[in-house]
Amino acid sequence: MIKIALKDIRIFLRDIKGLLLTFLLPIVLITLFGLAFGGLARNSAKDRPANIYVADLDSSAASIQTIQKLDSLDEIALTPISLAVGKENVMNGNKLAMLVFYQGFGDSIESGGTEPVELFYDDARELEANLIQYALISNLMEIMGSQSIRKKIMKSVNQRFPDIDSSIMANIEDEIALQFTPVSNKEDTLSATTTIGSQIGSLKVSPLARKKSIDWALIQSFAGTAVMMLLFGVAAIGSSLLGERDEGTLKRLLYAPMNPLQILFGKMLYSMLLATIQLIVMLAFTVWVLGLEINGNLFYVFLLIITTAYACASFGVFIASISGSRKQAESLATIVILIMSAIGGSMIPLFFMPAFMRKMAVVTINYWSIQGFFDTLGRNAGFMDIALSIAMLLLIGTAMTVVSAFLFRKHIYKVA
Amino acid sequence: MIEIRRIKKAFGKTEAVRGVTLTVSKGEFFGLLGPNGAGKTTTINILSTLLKPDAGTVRIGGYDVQREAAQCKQLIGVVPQELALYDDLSAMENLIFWGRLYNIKRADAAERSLEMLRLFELDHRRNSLLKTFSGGMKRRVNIAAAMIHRPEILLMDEPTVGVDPQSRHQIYQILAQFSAQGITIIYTTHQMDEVEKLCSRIGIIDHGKLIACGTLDELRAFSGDSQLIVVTFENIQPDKLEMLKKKFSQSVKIADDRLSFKTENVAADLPPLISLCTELGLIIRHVAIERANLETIFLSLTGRKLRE
Repeated sequence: MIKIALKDIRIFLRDIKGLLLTFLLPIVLITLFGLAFGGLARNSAKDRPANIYVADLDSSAASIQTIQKLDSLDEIALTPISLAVGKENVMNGNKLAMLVFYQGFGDSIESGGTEPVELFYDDARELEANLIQYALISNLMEIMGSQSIRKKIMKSVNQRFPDIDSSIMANIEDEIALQFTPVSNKEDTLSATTTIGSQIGSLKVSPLARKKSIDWALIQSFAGTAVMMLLFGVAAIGSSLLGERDEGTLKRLLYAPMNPLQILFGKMLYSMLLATIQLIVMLAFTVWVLGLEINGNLFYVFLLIITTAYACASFGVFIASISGSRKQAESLATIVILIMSAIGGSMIPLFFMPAFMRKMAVVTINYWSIQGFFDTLGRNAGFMDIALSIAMLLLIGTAMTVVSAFLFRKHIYKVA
Repeated sequence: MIEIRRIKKAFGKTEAVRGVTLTVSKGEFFGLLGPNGAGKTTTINILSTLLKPDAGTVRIGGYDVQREAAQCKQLIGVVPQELALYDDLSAMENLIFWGRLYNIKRADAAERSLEMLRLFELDHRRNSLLKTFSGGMKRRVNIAAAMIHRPEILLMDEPTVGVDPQSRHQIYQILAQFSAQGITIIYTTHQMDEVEKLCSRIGIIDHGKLIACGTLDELRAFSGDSQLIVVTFENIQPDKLEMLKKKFSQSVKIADDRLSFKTENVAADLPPLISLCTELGLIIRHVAIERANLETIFLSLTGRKLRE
């Protein structure tokens, strides 16, 4: 098995065109998708902002401040309007969406409650609305988040320790406020843990980690492109199994004293090795050249790379096993990969898609791999958070390997 | 060394091998001769453990090919019809790779590969990629790859297809050398001259059946005589040809526009044959008198030419 894989690697390394296609093309595509999704050159680009209505029914200082901050963003432009007219215009298709700040918004932030904000959108323009929703959620969280969380913490402390001295409460409030102070003012406290145990017994207050800048667009362009390109690569390797059959070398391999399945697994091992290297190179490029910051555990990232490579390698031999000829395998692979990439989130980010499409996506390798990369690269997820993605990739890979092994045995007889 | 007993193999409704029984002794150079589609490759595929026969048994070196395939595989080297090599590897890398599949250590595989390339006079090109080789050179590497694990039996399926005369001559010499070393060779071909030159014993296979087997002399005797009158007609009249056949009984074989007539006495048999043809209104285009060789033996046994 290893001998077959090594032989294939040796042949691959002699194929300059193949090498370029394997490593250079995905890098070019990641860069292009990065630009298209806005993960690159974002600051320099003068993008046209998405114009939506805003209805401020609260008119509090908090709502006015939030609206001003949102309006100052490059990607969103807000036009004030009354609730009724705005709704009418959205329903008539004159405007994509309307953001409503209900009465009590300011109080809610003060009291640490749930903020009454609602986004109405034209359901015929769901894709655009998803984009707006995505931009609003991330920005609203950033604007209102710290204030709201501070209040929530204080509310919780008050409820749990009603008898606490007011001066200690003031101290706690100051400490918490300090943790949310903008980065430039307090670099030295960002990673510290502040213990004020001497004053409030066993209460330990930990600062919330500063929200790092997560470039979702770049993660999307890396993960989406990488998995799609990997699938194309391994499908070609799988097809080479049929090429060996056509050229007679498979027959000669079968003359040798080894289990025929070793030939299949040898090809899979080669695919997996190549896919792993390809993913590492693509990730390294995205990190070092395009500037993606990895927020997660590197070991989990590697684990995901290995499981993605395994699932993709299985896909390659699966396609070869169900095809009658190399041409058939190539055509079939192209169709299946394009469909998987379209519904699995490689071409279009999943959050752009309607709910039913997102449900369909779970049958694809792309979906689980991209989700896994979002978790490991962006969200600093723990093992349990990525366990499902890894388990699903292993499951899909193993299912395809078992079917391929069965079909390959059948195909052996066709060789002669 | 090789015992084949009543093997049968069908692909759907097509019976490729129909009850072939054959024994090949150790060190024998056995030629399996037959036209395309006669069942030669199927027989080789069964011997090489690639195909399971539908019926019958095959033992190689005492091992059953179905139950003890791994042991059989170590004993045999197979030269397939195709150039089953990797064009993007050098000759040396190809041979080492194939050797390593037989669990030969890397250093030993390299040593044997060089030895083989010297034998086939290709050692000066050992590091060249195979895609730069001529067809004849590739054919030689193809044979060398089958010999890299030093098998006791060499199964060769039309190994000289498309080879230039010079390379072919060299291959013959090397095969003779292998045979002299005691290697058992089964050589399938439809080239009669190859079989006549190389093989100590010959089996003729047609429509999946072994129709004759023996040395060249034994086959001549088996086919009944040493001379053959072959008449080719201008106007084909099947009913009249059938009348001719009846008149000269089993000595006459008819295929298409040709009649072949076995005889031990050409002088006595040719005039009445010509007269009868004339009487029946058959116009003769060509008459040939041939000494029995494999071609004529095949013709006399099947009524068909080997290349048809």
